[in-house]
Amino acid sequence: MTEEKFLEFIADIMGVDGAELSLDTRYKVYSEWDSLMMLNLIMEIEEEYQVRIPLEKVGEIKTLGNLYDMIRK
Amino acid sequence: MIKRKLAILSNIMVDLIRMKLSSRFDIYTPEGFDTWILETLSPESGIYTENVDAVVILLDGTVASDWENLEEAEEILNSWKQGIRVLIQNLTEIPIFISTVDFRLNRIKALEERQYRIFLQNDWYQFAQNIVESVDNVYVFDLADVIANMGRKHFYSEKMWYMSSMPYSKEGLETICDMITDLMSCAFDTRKKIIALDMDNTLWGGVVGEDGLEGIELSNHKEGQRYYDFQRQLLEMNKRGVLLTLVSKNNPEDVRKVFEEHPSMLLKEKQFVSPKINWNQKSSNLKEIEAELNLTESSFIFIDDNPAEREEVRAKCPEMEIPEFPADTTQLVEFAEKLYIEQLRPLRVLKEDLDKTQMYQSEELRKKEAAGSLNLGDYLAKLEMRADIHRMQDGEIDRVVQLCNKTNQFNVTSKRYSRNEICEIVSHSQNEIYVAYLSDKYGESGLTAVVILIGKKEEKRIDTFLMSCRVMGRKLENVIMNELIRHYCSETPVFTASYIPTSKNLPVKDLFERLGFSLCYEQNGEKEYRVVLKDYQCRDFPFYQEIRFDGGK
Repeated sequence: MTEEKFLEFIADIMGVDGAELSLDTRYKVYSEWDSLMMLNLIMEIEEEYQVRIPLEKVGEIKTLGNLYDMIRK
Repeated sequence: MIKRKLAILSNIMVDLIRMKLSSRFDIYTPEGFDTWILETLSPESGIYTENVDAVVILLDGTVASDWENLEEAEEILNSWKQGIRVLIQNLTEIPIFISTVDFRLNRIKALEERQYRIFLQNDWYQFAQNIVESVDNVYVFDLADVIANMGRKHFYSEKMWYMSSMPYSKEGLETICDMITDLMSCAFDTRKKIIALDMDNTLWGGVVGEDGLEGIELSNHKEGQRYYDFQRQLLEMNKRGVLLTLVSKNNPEDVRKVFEEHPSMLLKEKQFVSPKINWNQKSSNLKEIEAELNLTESSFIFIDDNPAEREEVRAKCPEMEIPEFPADTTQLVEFAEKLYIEQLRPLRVLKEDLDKTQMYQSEELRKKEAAGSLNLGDYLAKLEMRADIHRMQDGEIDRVVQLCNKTNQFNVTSKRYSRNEICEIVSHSQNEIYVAYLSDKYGESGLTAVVILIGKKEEKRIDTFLMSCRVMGRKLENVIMNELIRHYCSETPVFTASYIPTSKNLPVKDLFERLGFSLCYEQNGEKEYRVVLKDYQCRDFPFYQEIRFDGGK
C-alpha cells in the first residue's frame, strides 16, 4: 500500500481534501483530527487493513506517519 | 432536503453515532456520560426546548457485566423506566423510540447465576410493550434482536468500549446508524404501497409453462422451501397492509393451476389486486395496474428475477423501485425483510391497513358495477354510499398523519405533517381538522379524507384538502365542501384556498374551480382561490344514502 493511497483513505474518513494531508499531519493540531476522529480512524483502519492497533500504541500516535507505520508492520 | 432534528438519549457515549449520522440528521445529545435520566427531569433540557422531531432512547446492556444479582439489576432498570416515564409525559407529540436491551451478564458466572438475564429481557419487553399499547407516540425497536442476529462477537468491540465508552464495533455502529435511519424514515418519509411480482423463478423455481405443475421448485422443506419462505414473507407483509399484485408472462390457465392445486403455494389468488397474467410488456401491465388502483408509479416496488424485464420496466417507469433480485435465492427471506424495513413498514399498522387488500378488491367490484351503469349518477346511487364527516378525534391522529404523508394525487397543497405538527395545529382553538369516512354496500373505506382549516372565523384558510385515491370519483369532495360551508356560513364570510402543483397532484388542478371557488390569481402554476360562503350554492347529493356531519368537538 502506498503512502498516497493511505492518505486518500484517511482523507475520505475525515471528509477532507487529500491534498491537505501528509504523513506529518499532527493529531490535535490539524483541526479535523480530534479525539473523536482518532477513534473513528482506528475503527476504520482496523477494518480496512485487517490490523489490530493495541490500546497501548494509541497513545503513541502523534502524526499520520505514526499511524502509517503501524499498519505497514 | 430538510434535516430532521433527532435527540439520542443513551447510557453510553454516542459521539461516534452522532458523527456518523450528522450528514443525515441534526442530532442533539445531552452533555456528559450517562446523564440521560437527569436530562429527562430537566425542563431546560434540549430535548424539551430545541424542537426535536423525534427521540431515540438507546440503552446498552454492557453495564450488566457489573451487576451482582437480580436486585441490583432491577434497581437500575427501575431508574431507566422512571426516566422513560418522565420523558413520555413531557413529550406527547413526537415519536419516541425505545430500544430493547441486550443484557451482557458476566459469563464467568454459572448458568444458574445468570438465568435472570431472561427475566430481565422479558421484563423490559413487557414494560416497553405496555407503554406502546397505552401511549400513541411511543415505539419499540428491537436492538437486542439485531445484536443477536449479527452475533455479539461482531457487534461489540472491547477496544471501542475502553477507548470511547461506546461498546460497538464498526459493523455494530453502522448497524445501529442504519436502524436509526430506518426508524426516522418510517416516521417521516412516504412509504411504498404495493409490490408487483413476477412468478416464474420469483415465486417458485422454474417456468411453469415448461416444467409443469409438478416440475416447478416449491415445497415446504429442502431446496424448494426458499420460495415457500419468500412467499411467507410476502404474505406477512400483505397481512400488514402491503398490497400485492402479479405481472407475469404466462398462460392464465397454468397459473390458475398452481394457485389451486400446488400444495405449497402459500399465496392465494385472493391476496392479489389487479393481477396481470398475459404476454404484454410488463411496463404496460404495470401502468394499467397503476390506473386501475389509482396509485402512482413511485408507490410501486417491482420484483423480477429477469434483468431484461427489470430493465424494460426501469426504462418506462423511472420512478418505480426495482431492486436487484438476489443471485443466491437462499437470500430471499432476508431480501424481503430488508425491503419491508427500509421501504414498506409503517411506524404502526393501523386498522385501515389490515383489510387494505379487501378494500381494493371491493373497488374492483365497484368498477364492474360502474361498467353496467347508465351514467355516473346511476352508478353512484347503486353503491348506497354513506359519508360521515366530523372533527378529528385523538384516536384518529395517526391515520391523519399517515394520509398527510402519503397522499399524492388528491392533495391540493401536499403539505407533509408529522404527528407533532398535527397536534400543534389543533392545539390552537381557531384551527380545525375534519375527517371523512366513506362506506358503501361493498364495505368500509375508513377514514379517507382530511381537511385542515386554519385561521380566525372571519376568514378560514383551507390549508390542506386531501383524499385517499381509493375513493376518488365518488363526489365525496363536493359533499365535504358542501357540509363545511353549510356549517360555517353563519359565522365565517370567506374561505381561501390554494393549489400548489407537484408532479403528482394534477387530478386536483381544477378542484376548486369545480367546487365553485373563484380564482384570485395564478403564478407559476400555483393558484389562489376564495369563496364567499353565503353565495355558495349548497347542493343535495341524492346518490348518497346518508350524509352525517358533526361540527362539534
